[in-house]
Amino acid sequence: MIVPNDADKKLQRELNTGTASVVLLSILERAFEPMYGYQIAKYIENSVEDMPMTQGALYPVLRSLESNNLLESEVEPSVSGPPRRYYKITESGRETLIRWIKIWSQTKVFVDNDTKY
Amino acid sequence: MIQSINEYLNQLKKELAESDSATIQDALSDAEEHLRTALNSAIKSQPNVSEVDALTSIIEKYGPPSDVATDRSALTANPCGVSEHREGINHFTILWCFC
Repeated sequence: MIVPNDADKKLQRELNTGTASVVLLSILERAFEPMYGYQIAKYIENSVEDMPMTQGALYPVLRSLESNNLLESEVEPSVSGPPRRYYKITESGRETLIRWIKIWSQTKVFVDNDTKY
Repeated sequence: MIQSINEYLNQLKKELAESDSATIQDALSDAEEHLRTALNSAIKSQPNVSEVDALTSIIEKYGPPSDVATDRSALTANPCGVSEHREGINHFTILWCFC
């Protein structure tokens, strides 16, 4: 198991911001109803074996996507616990996701092509 | 070892001391929502596990206050992860500079 150094952590953090944006938009695009942060984090946890970021790292990305009108949110009281912020994708978010998936595909080919060992 | 959610939030607030008030409020609000929801869920599904042990496991997945603060501050300070590529739009810039 690789123990990450500071440079590794910096690279991972930079990668996480972009990739998390695509993943979060994709999840919310497919969702039947708005989702709150913990719900999204659990969904990701159950769908990947090794998540490359902490669950806490998802929240500022959600906030940033909302500030750019790609998501919108609404706070609703919950029966047990604090109020929850529910996110849903906007029309602008759907259009952006289509472009970002294409960009990600091109980026993945670019990286994979030159990192063959 | 953090013993309570309030202790976590206090540590997070200290880690974010250099941030603006909106960033601090968002970080605390998101952390409290997540941690309380997770802890309630853990208590229901594993009633034999102590709250402190459950919280430790939850914090391991959510991230310690220092990491959460770093992630929040990094995104706030430099939403575009590749500042040296501002001149041209390339694949990395578009993917990271969504602001």
